[in-house]
Order: sequence, then structure tokens, then C-alpha cells
Amino acid sequence: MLQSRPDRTDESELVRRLLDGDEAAFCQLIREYQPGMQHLARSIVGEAIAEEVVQEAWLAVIRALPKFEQRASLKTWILRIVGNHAKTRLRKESRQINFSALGEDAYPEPERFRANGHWNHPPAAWHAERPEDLLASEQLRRRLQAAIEQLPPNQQSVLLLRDRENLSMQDICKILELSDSNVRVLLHRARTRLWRVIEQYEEDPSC
Amino acid sequence: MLNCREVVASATDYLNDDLPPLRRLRLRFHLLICRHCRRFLRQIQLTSATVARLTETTLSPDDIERQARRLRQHRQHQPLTGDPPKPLD
Repeated sequence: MLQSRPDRTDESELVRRLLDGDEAAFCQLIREYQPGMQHLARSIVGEAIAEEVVQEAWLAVIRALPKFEQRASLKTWILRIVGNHAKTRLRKESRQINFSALGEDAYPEPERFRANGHWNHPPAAWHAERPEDLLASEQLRRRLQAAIEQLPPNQQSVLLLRDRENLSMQDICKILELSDSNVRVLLHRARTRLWRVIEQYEEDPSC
Repeated sequence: MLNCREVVASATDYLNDDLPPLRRLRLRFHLLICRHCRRFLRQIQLTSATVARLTETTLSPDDIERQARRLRQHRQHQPLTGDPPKPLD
């Protein structure tokens, strides 16, 4: 589930093979990074134009590869290019979004706590103990997918970069050009919102 | 000592190992005595692991081949030299 960060020596070797035009190296690059590129693009610009953004980003990656200095990992560097293209695309489409806005919503709801800050309605035990137990339910899987898609773009991006791509908070700040404190708040809000979706399902699957 | 609301608010930073030492200690002390917050943290970890599993995607060999073809065309039009649009790393 969690992908370890590739060894820098392996990465240098991959970059060298790419610059040599090695077809197998390009296939490796696509296999390893394209799914993450698609997820990130979709989270920022939506499904309809995500593919175009990914293709624009690939062009930029090809163009900039000789200048890649490996100060960041290849994955972070590529995802940063995707993030830049996606946000530029949003501006071109005149879809004014404030990507650093934190929004208001946060779970658990305030009434879950007493005035002294202790739980009023504490979380109940869940039947599931592992991700595969939860995802065995097609209904919950669909609800979680829908909930992720409905998250504000910045929350969705941060959640995917952290939980799917297993990137460090510093790398996420660089990719999305957001401050450390914003990324922390966005991740917390995204996770607690999804926690609430699972909690509601555990309380009553029919709701 | 922290109260439950404060523990919940710090949950993500705690799991990221991103809390100042004193606050981390206070939070751990709270967890020793509060099963509700221990449960909340376990559930947040499970939520995070579930998101990772739910969003796993694997490209088919056909998808990889199709994309490799596109990149080959890009490289023919755009040799691997030249300046990037802006510094990115």
C-alpha cells in the first residue's frame, strides 16, 4: 500500500536512461507515475479536462528533463509540473478558485464535545479493523469515492498526495505551493470528513 | 493536560510526528487515560489507509503502450534538450 521512496541512485539511472531515449525507461516512468498524475490533475481541474492537463504536463516533463537536477525526487518534480499546469488551466478557464482557502467545515461536529472539551458523543467502535474490511462493502466504497470527489480541490489534492502517494508534508507544500500550516489543516479536514462518512456507515449502513 | 477536542484537532499532526515535543507528551498522556481518543486516532489511521487502498490504480499494458507512443511522438517533435518553462525543482 505504501510506496517507499525510490533510491536516488536508481532514480539517477532512470533519468539517464530516459535521456538516452530508452523505451523501457519511459514505460517504467508511465507505469509508476501516470496514475498519480491523473489523480492529482482530476482533484484540481475535475474529470473533464484532467487528461488534457496530464498530456500537457508530460510535454513539459519531456522538455524539462535535461534540466532536472534531482534536488527533489522525480515523483515530486513531475507532480509539481502537473500541479502547475492544472492551476494554470483553472485560471485560463476563468474558474476563480482560491486554492489556499481553508473553508469552514470540520469534523467531528462541535456538538460532539462538551463545554469542557471532552467527548459528548464519543466515536463508537467500528466492525471493520482493516481497509479491506471496509472496502468489502461496495456501498461504502461508492460513498467514499463520492465523498473524495466532493472534497474541495485543495483538500482532495492534499489527501491524495499524502495518503495515496505517501509524500512528505514538505513535498506536498512544494507541489501545491501551499504553506505548511495550510497543508496540515487541509489534510486534517479531508481525513476527518471521510472518517465521518465511515462512521455514519458503521452506525447505519442504510442511511 | 489536553482535552479531547484538542487531541482531535492535533490528530493529524500527531500521526505525522509533527507536534512540538511538549504537546506530543501531553497528547500521549491524554491517550493513556482516554479510550475514546485512542479509538478516534485508530479510526483516523484506518481512514487514511483506506483512502490509500481505495485510490490504488494500475495502468493496463495497453494504456502504458498508448502513452509511450504519445511520448515517443513528443520526443520526435521536441528533442530532449532546451530550457524548461520555469525552474521546477
